[in-house]
This record gives sequence, C-alpha cells and structure tokens, in this order.
Amino acid sequence: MMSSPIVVERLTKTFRGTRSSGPVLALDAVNLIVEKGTCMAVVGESGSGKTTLARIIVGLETADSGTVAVEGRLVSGRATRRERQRRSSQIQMVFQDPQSSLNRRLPVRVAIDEVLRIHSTLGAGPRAERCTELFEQVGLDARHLDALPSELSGGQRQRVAIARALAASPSVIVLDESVAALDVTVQAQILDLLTRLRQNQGLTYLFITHDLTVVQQIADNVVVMRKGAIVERGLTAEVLGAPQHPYTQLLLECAPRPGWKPQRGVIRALRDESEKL
Amino acid sequence: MLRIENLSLTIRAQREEIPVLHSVNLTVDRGESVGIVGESGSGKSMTLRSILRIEPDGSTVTGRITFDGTNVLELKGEPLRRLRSHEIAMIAQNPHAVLNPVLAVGRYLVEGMHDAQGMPARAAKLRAGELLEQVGIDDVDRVLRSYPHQLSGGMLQRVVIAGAIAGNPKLLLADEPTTALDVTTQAEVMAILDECRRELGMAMLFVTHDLDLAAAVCDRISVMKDGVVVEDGVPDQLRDNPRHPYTRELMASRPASIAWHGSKGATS
Repeated sequence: MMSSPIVVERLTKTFRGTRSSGPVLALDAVNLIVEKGTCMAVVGESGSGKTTLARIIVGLETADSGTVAVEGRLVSGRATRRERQRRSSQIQMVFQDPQSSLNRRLPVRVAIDEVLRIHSTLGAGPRAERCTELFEQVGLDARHLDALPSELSGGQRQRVAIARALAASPSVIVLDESVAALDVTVQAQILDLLTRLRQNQGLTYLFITHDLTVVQQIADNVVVMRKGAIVERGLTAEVLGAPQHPYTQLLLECAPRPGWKPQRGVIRALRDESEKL
Repeated sequence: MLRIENLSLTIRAQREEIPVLHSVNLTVDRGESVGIVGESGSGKSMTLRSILRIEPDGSTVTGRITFDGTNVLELKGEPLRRLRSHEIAMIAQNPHAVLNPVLAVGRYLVEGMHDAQGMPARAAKLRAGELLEQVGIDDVDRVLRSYPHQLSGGMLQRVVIAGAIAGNPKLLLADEPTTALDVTTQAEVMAILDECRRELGMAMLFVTHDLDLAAAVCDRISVMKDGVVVEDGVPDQLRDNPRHPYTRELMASRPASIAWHGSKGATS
C-alpha cells in the first residue's frame, strides 16, 4: 500500500522560552495524516504551535520526540546535504512574506533558475523555457521574470514564490500563512490558483493559517490547534458547520461575518469553557 | 461635527508627485460611528491622517475639513495642539509605536492626562485605574506597573484605548486597531471599543480592510479604492445591495457561508 504523503506521530517539541515564561511546550504529542492530493488546513492563533509543526515537517526545525514521514521516508534530525536535497524535491514551503525570501537585488528569474539547477539536469536553454512555463502556470507574464521583487505587487511576488516551489517538482507543499499579508481580493485569486494547481498536478497541501475563511476556501480537512495540541479535527464542512470543541466554537464566534456583533459575554464564556478542557 | 469636503491629497516622493486622495467627501455626526473600508493603497489611512494634519511632509492638501465649524486645514500652533489633545484622539495598529518601552504603562496614562489635559498627578493616577477597568482589564494594579514588553498585544491595545478615551474626546480615529491581534483578541477588543464609545457618546471614524468588522461597529460605511470613495451607505445596504462593482468584488472575496450561528453553550 502507498503511504500517505505526510504522517506525523506523537510529535513533541519544547522551546526553552524566556526566564519569565519558562519552557514552552510548542507541540504536545501531535498526530496528523495528510492524504494524497488533499489540502489539510492547520488553524490556530499565535502560540498554538501551528508554525512549529510546519517547520518540523519540512525539516527547518527538529522535534524532541515523535516522527515525521514524508512520502514514506522519515524526516529525521540533522540531514546530510544529499538528504536535504532529496527531501526538498518532495516537499516545498511557501511563506507569508515572499519579500523576505526573495533576493531584492536580483531579478526573480534567478530565484527560480537556482531551484532548477539544483533539482534538474537541464541546461541553460531548457531551464529558461521551464521558467517561462512555470510563470504561465502561476498566471504571471514571462516578462515579469526579469523584474526585481520590488517592482512586483504583493500578489505577484507570492505567485513567484509559488512558481519557485513548483520548480522543484515537489509532491507536497507546506503553505505557512501564504495569503495572510495580501488584500482580500488578491487573496481570493491566489487561493483559486493554489486549488487549480493542486487539482491539475495532484499536489498535497498542508496549509497553516489563522483565518477560518481561508480554511473554508481552500481545505478539504482541518485540524484546530491550541497550545501545542490538536483540539478538533475533521472535514472542513463538518468542523466549521458543527464545531464540537468550545475552542473551535470560540474561533468561529469571533470570526467577523455578516450580521455579526462581537459580544464580550459570549466570548468570555467560550474562552473559560475551552480553558477548562 | 466632522465634515470632509472635496479632500484631495498629493504626496511628494523623490521629486515625484503622487496623487493619493481624489475629492473625498465624508461626514461624521456627533456620537456616530463611521467606517472607511478599503485595501492597501486605497487612501483610507491617509484620509484619517489628514484630519489630524499628520499627513507626510511635503504633501499638498486641497479641499475642506471642518470640525465643529473650524477649518482644520487652517489650524496651526496652540489651536491645532488643542484639537489633537482635547477634541480628537487616535489609535493605530501597533501599540508599541505609541507606548514608551522604558515607562510602565501607568506612567504613560498619567503623563497623558497630566501633561496634555492638565489634570493633577494624583487625580490622574486614580483615573488611570478607572480607565483600565473601563477597557475590561481585571488586574488593574499589575497592568499599571507593567512595562509594554510584559503585556500581550491585546492588553497593550486596551491600554492605548484607555489613553485615547482619557480626555473624553468627541471623536476617535481608529486605524486598523485590531489587525495585528489574534481573532479572539480582536473580537474582545472591538467589543470593548464599541461599548466604551457608546457609553461616552463618542463618535468614531474606523479604518479597516474588513467589511464585516466595520459592519459590526459602524452606523455607516464608505468604501474606498485608489483614493476615491466608490460607495457609501449603511452596512446592510452595502452587503445586500452593493451598487459599485468593487464593493461586490470585496464581498465575493470573502465567502460568508460559514454556517455558524453562535454557541448554544455560551448563551445558556
């Protein structure tokens, strides 16, 4: 049987924290399976551990205990150069702010070409062709290849970041708040693009977000995290439509929507209830 | 009370003139809450800043902004300072930008009341505690003694709100005050802001990118795009019957089909 693209078992991570906070349990025995071709959203507030989970899965951080398997192979602590390269051809990450991950002095073509040089045996000519192809896939005009990041809009830069992730031909993409910094109209366009790419190329997504509307727009499944633990999981429609855990109810209650009024009493009651559990 | 008429603003950046606002019209009546909703670059914050005359240096402003009959654009010196300290208060996205990192937040509140409003120091101290209670803080004494880095973003934003309402201003300008906060904290801070505003009969001009958030606390909303008010109306009308294509696009970008109608457990 083919294994699932992402299998996380009893993943635990503690950060040393500050003198006043003491050690912080960022992940508390987290289990997670993401099936092939699906989009799993991880939703939570700051400090929930959602980003730590993503960073361990792609190998940017090491866990204290527990295991992560990507495409059936264990992602272990310190990897050799070759191991890292193999891993990055399977799993890629798209961050919130592409401006910080693109070199501001170089045309964006360089960022994509670099990935192609590492992950393919293509010569310069075919690589240039592939760059154009990738740009077309993410809805950018090929003339933008020679632009500097600063000459592009936020939405365009995020498209470049997605093209760069695709350049490695990964089967899994981890998206960490990848639309959080964008205006809502641009957000909708990028989410549409991501869904189209996933369907056309059979990609698997792990989408980290704080935003339930984004979850609803992109994910098949969702896990809700709070203080390092998953408090609820299931199909997106079920979790958002009939949340069982008071913390999920709190998140939904607080999400602005038509006809909504924030009510201190309701918020406080749900917060108290979820903290008891 | 506040009337903005044909406000246009051009900023100068590296010898280039960049038009930012085009003939913006907007009014806020006494005690009323008005929202400006728009995306980045729409001019919503710049409109707010023009009211306090804190637009970028070298900007050219034309049109009229009157507050209680006084033309704000002609104010200078003491009358302008008085407008900023007594009549109109402002809160923004990042509380760290207004709070002094080496002063306990109690000192921040007391200094504001003592220096700007001329309140005696002892009275100001008592009032600081009352204000923190008003913005929903339970352990007032601890918070008064805390330095900004010891408090969460939501707590700091409450402190800033307390400072803003300290002088009983007639109008509060709020520029994305909850954008940097977690969603549950945002809801709490907005609820507190809304309650305080109603209790004090204070008007508010609330700038946000979130139409639903504006609708929750505003009597009227102006939608801005590229420096132009493309549409204004009451929240229900904008939601149910938007006239401008951009308003429709804004709403379509955030599908509102989360079928959540409140928790039974919480209301019982």
